[in-house]
Amino acid sequence: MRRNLLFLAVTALLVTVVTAPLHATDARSEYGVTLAISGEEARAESLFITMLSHTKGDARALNNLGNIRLLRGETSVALAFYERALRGDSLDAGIHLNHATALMLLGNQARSEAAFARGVKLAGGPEAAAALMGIPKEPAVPKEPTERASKKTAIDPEQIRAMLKQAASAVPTGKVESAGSGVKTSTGKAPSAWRSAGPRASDGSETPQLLYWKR
Amino acid sequence: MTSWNARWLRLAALLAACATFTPACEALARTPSNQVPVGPRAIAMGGAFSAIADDASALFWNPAGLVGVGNQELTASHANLFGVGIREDLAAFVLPLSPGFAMAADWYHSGFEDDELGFSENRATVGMAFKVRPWLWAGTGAKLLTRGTRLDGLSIVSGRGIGFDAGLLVSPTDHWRIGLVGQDVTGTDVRSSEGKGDNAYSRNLRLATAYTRPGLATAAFDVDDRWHLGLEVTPHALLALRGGAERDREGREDIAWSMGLGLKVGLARIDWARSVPPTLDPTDHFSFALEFNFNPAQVRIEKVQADEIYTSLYKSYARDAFGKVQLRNLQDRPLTTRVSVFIPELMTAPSEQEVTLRPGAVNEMPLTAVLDETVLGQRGDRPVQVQVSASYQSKRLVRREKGTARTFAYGPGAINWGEGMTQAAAFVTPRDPAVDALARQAGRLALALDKNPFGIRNMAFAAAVTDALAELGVAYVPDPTNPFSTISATPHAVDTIHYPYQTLDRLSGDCDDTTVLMASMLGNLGVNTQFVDVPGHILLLADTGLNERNRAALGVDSTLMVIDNERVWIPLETTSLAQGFVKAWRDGADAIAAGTATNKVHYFDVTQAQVNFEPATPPGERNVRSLVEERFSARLEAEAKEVSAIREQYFAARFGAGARELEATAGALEEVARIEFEGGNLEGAGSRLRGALAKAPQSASAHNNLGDVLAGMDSAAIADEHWQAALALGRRDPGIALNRGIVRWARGDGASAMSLLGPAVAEAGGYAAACRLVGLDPDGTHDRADDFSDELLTLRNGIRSVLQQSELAGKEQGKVSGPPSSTPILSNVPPSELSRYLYWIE
Repeated sequence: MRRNLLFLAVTALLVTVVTAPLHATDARSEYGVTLAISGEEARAESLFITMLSHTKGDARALNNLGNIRLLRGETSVALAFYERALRGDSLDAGIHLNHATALMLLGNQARSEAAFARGVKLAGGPEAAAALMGIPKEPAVPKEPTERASKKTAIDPEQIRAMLKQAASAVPTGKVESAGSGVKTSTGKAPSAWRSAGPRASDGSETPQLLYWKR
Repeated sequence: MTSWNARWLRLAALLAACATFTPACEALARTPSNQVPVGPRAIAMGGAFSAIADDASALFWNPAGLVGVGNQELTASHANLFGVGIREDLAAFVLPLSPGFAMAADWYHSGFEDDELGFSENRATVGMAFKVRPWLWAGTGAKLLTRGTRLDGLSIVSGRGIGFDAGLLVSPTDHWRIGLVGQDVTGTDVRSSEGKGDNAYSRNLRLATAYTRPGLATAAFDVDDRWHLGLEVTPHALLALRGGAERDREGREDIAWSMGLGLKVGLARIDWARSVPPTLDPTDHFSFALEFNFNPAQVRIEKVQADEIYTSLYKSYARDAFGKVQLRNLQDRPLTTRVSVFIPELMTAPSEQEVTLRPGAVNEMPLTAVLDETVLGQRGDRPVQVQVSASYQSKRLVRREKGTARTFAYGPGAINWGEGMTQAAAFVTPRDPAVDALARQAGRLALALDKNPFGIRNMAFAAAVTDALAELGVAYVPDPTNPFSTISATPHAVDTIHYPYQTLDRLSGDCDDTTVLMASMLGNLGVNTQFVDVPGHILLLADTGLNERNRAALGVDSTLMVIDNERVWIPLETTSLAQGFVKAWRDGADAIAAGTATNKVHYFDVTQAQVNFEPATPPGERNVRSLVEERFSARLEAEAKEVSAIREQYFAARFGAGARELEATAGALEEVARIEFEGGNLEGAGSRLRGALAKAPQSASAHNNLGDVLAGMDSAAIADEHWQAALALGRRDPGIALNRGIVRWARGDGASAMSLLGPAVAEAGGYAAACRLVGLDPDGTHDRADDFSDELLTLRNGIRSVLQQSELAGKEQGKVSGPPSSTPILSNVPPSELSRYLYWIE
């Protein structure tokens, strides 16, 4: 009886010691992503750097820092962050897709296509890859082109979708791997077709959601 | 040929005709027409009939019009001219032989007889017409004329002659026609048996025009030696009222007035006209006509059923049926039929579609029609007649069967909730000028708030729209006579929604009014919305723009949001507008929670609904309202503080204080700096490293790496200070000396560089090890021209060379003949590129 109690106590202590910092890091990551998506990029950046204080080379923090740089228009720096993140987790489809997006924005078509192909393969197919990127299904009502001036980098979901399709065609059928991201497919509704010349809800404000945030 | 080109061609032809005809008309019109006009319909319209010419009298007025009659017509008319015993009779027959060709014949008699004197004139005319183009018709007629005069029963004068007529009809648009007629173009003479000739009918040229408003009226104008003006009004399909006037162009005579009416029942038509000349007694003209086809009907319209029409939904009727028509094919073979739907009160042109009817069967078709946008200008409700016709080829002619039904057209704003809540989407008008101006101003001011305290952009817009309406004083006022809760639950009840501009004008509305108003304003700002149908009430969901997986970014708990279709939406109770955004949000959440408890909540995406119920902006003036900017901004800021507090509370509860208390370490900052450096952001990297030094002033790595960054920024002197500081901290690392040496070499200070590089290369373990420390492969096998520019290849080879020489110098203990280079390499390569080959302490 005493042995069992002792065993339970030691186990509880170990669990507490091992998981407590992990949970704190998870919370920081989630909070950082939340802040970044709600436009508080500076606070989000600080949080992700604190994650690096805890774990050097943390792929989550590096990927998400890359996203923040991409949103600021510092695409080359974002690329460096993604490359560093891939050193820590080379099997994460989302980081490959972000990496591919940055390469696409830099005009490096060949490397971008290769990175998309790798990302799609790891994600398990173009739909899963699109879902990872937060790209909605193709709209029933075609979306009118909008001004995208308010964010320094605005990602066109149509362009990403096209790249994913192209990448999918490069992946041999039946040979897709799943990164196990547990992504649900989107059911997608038609977006608004009316656009005025005034302030717009979609003027690049969706861009943070069109990146893969590693939580 | 495209319709555009065809229209230009018509106009060109018309202009050419006018250009040639007008001078001729001017020259010849002085010759008075001495033919007596025929046909009560034309006479009632003052003789303004040459551009109409759509019945059997067309052979007289304009033979080109014969081809447009479209059916056989037999007509007879009679008049006692001026009540003096001069009798006038006409019989005419039109025979269409194909859709593009028709023939006609008539016989005209006028005569006077008393005990002593007798006079008679007989005229027989045959004519034909054909379509040169669908918009250009031509016709001609030839006449044989006989005249005789008797005195006391003996013929004293008699003779005969031949004459010719010709005419053109042009249709520049669907309802506008121009007619050109040359009557007796060669001058018609009567030659007696003795060979004596006498001009019976002089040449007469007429220019005419007519405009028809289908189902309502036709106005016409002719000019020859006289002007003729006529109007025909058809208040009902069976009845026509006519009036006209004519006068000589010199103005010597008074105006001759005329009037008349026509009745049409089935195949028969009866017309009457009274002409009132200025000096003579009035004359009454009567005619009876039969319109018929020799070939029997092949289609029968069994039934036309029209539902009530809601003008606000007028665009939807182009696709969605507002009734049905049953057509029976009486033949034992399939029949292609063109079905036309026309509502004179709501349309300017019929909507047509071609269908194939199955043999012997009743074919049911939905009634659809393209209604005119002017229906939104309709005041109140009105009865309308739906006219359906089925046209088909029968033998060589086009037959047309007709059917009608009566229904009501409700004025703009009317809605039947029993047909579904999605119809309300037709009232969401983001483009309305009143909505657009207010939404833009509110949106602009929301974005002007510092750092968007609402967090999400769509949240800021939702708050701005709600507070803008609150600021204007838009109040929820339930309809006292037809409350939404009652009328929306009453089958077939017709309610009224006010358009957003109307609600903005009145500054009040019930829940449906305020809901479509808010949806319109949010739509203007690009925020998608959904109607929320809870029992007896309607409210709104606004799209936050967040994917479901990012719902935490909203910063509120799940009771204040709705997840639908993987998107995060916030509820807005539009009846709580006056109390501001947060209150409207909370009340909306409460309303949904109450409905969810009874499982009676339904959502309707406005954008999706507008695919079927496309909105249209009613015409008219707008009362464009604007906000007092300072007051509105203050209100919005107060609202933002409240939202911020809610979000912070939520974040604290969800993520815990620990998530924010950890400080970045110097190591983390150095890690970020390294990546910034790789990404080319030297300023950012420098900033991080300074931050790292502030936290750990004794960090040799931070000093060394900052030296690298500064060297890349062309601050070699300060860089060297940091490298020396790193060495002073006791760090025994040959890479630091390599950095110092390489930079000196690159700047052309070869001797100094060699003194540093020699020992450093030796300490590093030789040339190859030194190369690896600065990120170079020793043998240059990776130096491909595809990857590096010529300048970079030169730089890489230069570094290798200097390191190799340094190794040799170290082995020979400084017995090198001289420095490797005296030319600064940085004249060709930017310092930032050089810095990539400096040693970085990870």
